[in-house]
Amino acid sequence: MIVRICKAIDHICDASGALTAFYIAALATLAMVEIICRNILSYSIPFATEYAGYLVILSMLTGLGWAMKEGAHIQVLLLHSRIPQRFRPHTDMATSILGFIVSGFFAAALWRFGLTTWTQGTVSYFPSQTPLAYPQLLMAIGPTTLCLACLARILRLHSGGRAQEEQAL
Amino acid sequence: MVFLFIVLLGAGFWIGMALLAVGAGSLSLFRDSDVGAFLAGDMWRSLNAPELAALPLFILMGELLYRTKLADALFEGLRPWLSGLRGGLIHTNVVACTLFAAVSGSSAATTATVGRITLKQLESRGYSRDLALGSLCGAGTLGFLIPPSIILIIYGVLADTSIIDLFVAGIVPGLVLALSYMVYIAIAAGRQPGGSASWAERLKGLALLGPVFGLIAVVIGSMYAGIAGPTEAAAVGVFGALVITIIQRSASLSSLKDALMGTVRTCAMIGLIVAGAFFLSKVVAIFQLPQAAADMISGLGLSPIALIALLLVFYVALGMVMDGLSIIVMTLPIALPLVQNAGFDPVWFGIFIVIVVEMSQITPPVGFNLFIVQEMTGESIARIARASLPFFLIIAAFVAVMTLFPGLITWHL
Repeated sequence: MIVRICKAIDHICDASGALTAFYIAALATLAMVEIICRNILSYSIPFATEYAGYLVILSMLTGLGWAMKEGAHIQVLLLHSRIPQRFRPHTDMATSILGFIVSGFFAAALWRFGLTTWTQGTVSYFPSQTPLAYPQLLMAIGPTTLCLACLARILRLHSGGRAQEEQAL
Repeated sequence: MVFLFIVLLGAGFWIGMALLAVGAGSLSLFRDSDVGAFLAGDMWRSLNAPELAALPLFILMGELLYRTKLADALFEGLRPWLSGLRGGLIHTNVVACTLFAAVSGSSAATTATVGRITLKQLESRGYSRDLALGSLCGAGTLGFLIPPSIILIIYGVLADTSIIDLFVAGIVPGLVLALSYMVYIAIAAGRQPGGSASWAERLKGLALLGPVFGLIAVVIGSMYAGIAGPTEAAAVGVFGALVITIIQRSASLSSLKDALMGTVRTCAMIGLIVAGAFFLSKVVAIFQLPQAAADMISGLGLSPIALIALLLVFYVALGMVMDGLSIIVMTLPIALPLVQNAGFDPVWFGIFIVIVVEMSQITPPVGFNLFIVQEMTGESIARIARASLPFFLIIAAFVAVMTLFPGLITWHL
């Protein structure tokens, strides 16, 4: 059961990583098309700046869970590496539980923020008048996957498996 | 707040989450406010910034170039130009890192890409192992300073300072440091095997360097010609890098996918730290800690030079146990008001802090460049750190020079 849950979380994290790659490619394409339009056609895409902002925030946050799964988030392991081997699973478990709580709080805050905007029907002040709930709710996906990745770590540690190797400092 | 942060880091907690936890915990304990709403609103306002778009795009450019044969071309192109100099081909580490830094923006990418080619070549030609290792570690740090620099973009956004001004300010120190490294190599290495190349070989080498010079010209030229802003110049760089991968026949769907996923990895790593740092900086401001720190320091009656010396020692000590990005985002909310009160320009301080972070890349026990070179060569961290020491001292000497002559950095303002 635990293995299946962890695998499902891994798939969700992989999907969030792929989604982030799409955002980054879209950001590069949008910027390039804007340069071409402005300099050759003397026409500026009206939503280029606005959507570049949304794509930046999504590029920075959506891949959080995938990066955790891949061990990309930075930790200071100088003291941790000096902890006797038999105690390490306990400290790993403690940091994973704390990570789950912090990222859960982070995710809940972002979901609440997006849903409040949705309820209020707030739109952007740009000409597109994009409902801000869309990018704000998408923004909440990253911290949610981060929380799930922490949960997978906890489950793996609980079942005796090793957490992924971290990007050690 | 500081105690909780140290405990979390010591326990091996992730830096970005530690910043969030300390900020949220402090607000919950000492202020009666809706922490979640504050956190989410701050995150949205801080990261929804089009000027930050340069960050993922320059990272993508570096990832694309990392997968090309650019480093081979750099070595082969520079060889005929540098082999006749005192110190011979050891200089390829410095010049190749300087050139790659101008199209990458990351110290780690610069060190890894250049080192992958030069170390083997230098060893096979009988050059001093220590000098090869040290010069690679030292010159690799230029990736932070020479524009486009990812760290300078983050500093610019955090400090609300013009990224273009920071980029221009990084050019002179970057070139002076590269030149200083070369002078040291010439003195330390003396006459080396190789000998001068003919002009025909040099011209052939120049052709190999064409893609790098072309990409630098396109990225920087598009900004200064007014065709693109710093963010859009990064997009130009991405497409330039794509053209190079196609010309060099390194382009494939799998390499493109790898480059994109490498970018996702770095963006997420930076994203969590920057999100935490933005949030904590607001919390720190709410508790008026920068003002308290400024009052405490001004109570010591330090001169501006003494303040910078104190900060230098503090950052070097911090750099021994932490990575550069974390150091900058964690200390900036307190350090920047301090130095501004002492009369230093934020652009000057941006370059100062980036140079100090460069030093942290080559100081043990935690130094990213040391780790990268260790991974490539299998040498001990102690040997690589010893080999890097002269370059560390050169950077320290340069910090003294730029403090005495701030015009070196702020000449364009």
